[in-house]
Amino acid sequence: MALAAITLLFVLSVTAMPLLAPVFAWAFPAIVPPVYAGDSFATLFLYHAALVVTSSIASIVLGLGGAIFATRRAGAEFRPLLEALATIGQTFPPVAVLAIAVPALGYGDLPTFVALALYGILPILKNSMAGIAGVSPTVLEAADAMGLRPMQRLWRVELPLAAPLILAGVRVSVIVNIGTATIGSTVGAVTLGTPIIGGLIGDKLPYVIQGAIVVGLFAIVADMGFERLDRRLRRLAARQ
Amino acid sequence: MIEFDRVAKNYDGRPIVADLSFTVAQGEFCALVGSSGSGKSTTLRMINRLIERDGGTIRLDGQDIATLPLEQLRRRIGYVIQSAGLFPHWTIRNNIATVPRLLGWPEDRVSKRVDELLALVRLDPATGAKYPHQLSGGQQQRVGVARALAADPSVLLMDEPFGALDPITRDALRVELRAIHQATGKTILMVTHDIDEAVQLADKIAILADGKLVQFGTPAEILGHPANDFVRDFIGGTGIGLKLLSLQRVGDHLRPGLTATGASIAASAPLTEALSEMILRHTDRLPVCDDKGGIAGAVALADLVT
Repeated sequence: MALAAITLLFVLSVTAMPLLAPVFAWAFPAIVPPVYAGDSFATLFLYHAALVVTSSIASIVLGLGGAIFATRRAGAEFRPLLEALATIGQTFPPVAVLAIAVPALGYGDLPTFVALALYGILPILKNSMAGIAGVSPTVLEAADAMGLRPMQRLWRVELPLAAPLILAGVRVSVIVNIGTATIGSTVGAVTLGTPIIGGLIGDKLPYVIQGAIVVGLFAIVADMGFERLDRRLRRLAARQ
Repeated sequence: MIEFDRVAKNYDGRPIVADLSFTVAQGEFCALVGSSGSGKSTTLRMINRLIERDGGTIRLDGQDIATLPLEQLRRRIGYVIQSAGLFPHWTIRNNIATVPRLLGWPEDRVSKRVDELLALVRLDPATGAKYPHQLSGGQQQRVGVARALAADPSVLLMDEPFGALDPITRDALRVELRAIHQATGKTILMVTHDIDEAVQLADKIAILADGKLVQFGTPAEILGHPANDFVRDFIGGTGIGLKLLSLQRVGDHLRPGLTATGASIAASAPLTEALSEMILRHTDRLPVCDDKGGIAGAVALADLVT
């Protein structure tokens, strides 16, 4: 119910922002036009979402892949290193990651994509390692003794049992990326951050507010979606 | 059949199992007993290669286990562990079906087999749709046994299967394990630290100390002729006589002509039960009934010691 209401509000914010023009005109009479008049919010949202989705997929592949590697016997010695990297990496502000990416990759979508993907790996890597390592040793012993091959054990036992924790990591990663992607507009990526950055530079507060409303609602809707997915997953995987 | 031939295992240069040779015959129930650290669990795990041995040969039904592909070997061996180790995200039916599905059985055959096994371990068919955490410890262990038997392996390995259960559940499951052993004719090798459990269940007992086999024989042989002081202490010192008594049935000492008063005792009951009744009732003889409930004679106190 709440999800439906927020989703509706979000869709309205993307499609019907111009309808709020009289409100913004009344509150900020000096700003003309009162509603951001560059790309439409729908277009900005699509660019923004594409950036978040692609970078999140890259984060999931790398983060989960790293966690699977670190929890195999061959990769066990790398686990402390990866854990340390994930912890230290998260103390870096995303802007710093972006600042490092630009000199290497130039302006536009690419440095933003790389920065988001790298920054998004960390929570997924950390949670996935914890989730996979947390599967009961008795269950793993049983899986081995039943004659599951290492890949079968991974897909049928370890990943499903670690799924709730992995999903929690993906959730943090995606939500953070939705917010962080706005900063991409400082290096030339087209995102929902474009009106925000433009508004800050041009001293046009309503544009900042409009961009922030859409990004905020986007993040809330995504988070509620994950919440629902998580509940479904837990029902599916009745755990001890 | 499981054959150990001069098997050895070391950890950090320290021998855990040394020069171990014994054979569990086809259909035999063998208990591997010893105190903790005696190497009994290591011995068990070397059979399905959860632990790789450092020397010697283990043969399963005459085949050197080293020559079999690992997964194929394991799918031929049933394995039951202390806390059942069920897959928490799978229903009971799916847990039991694990190995048959790995072996690629058609789904209708798997389903039929699961029904059979639920009946064999005396679980309600409705239990099949539940998840492990919805079951009691005893029920989970029944599922553990059913899962181990699913693909009809010739050998069943059990590592302290009743160790985590309360005494009442444990006793009930022991009785049923005996019945399952008799019904299926599986070769069973069970690790336990409980000599009473071994005496009650096993055809043969192997006693391990510091990774070496100190004695191997039937319960009567071991109780009657302990190989050394260690075995004597381990099997219970002053209690050995009573354990020997528990191996014999009232029927073995029945005197058909003799009469006695009071409630009768079943011919199939262990002699310890007869002794206990005599002590409680301050009498030296008890009437004995056969399995149909008719009086078959009596058992006398003097007969217990002959």
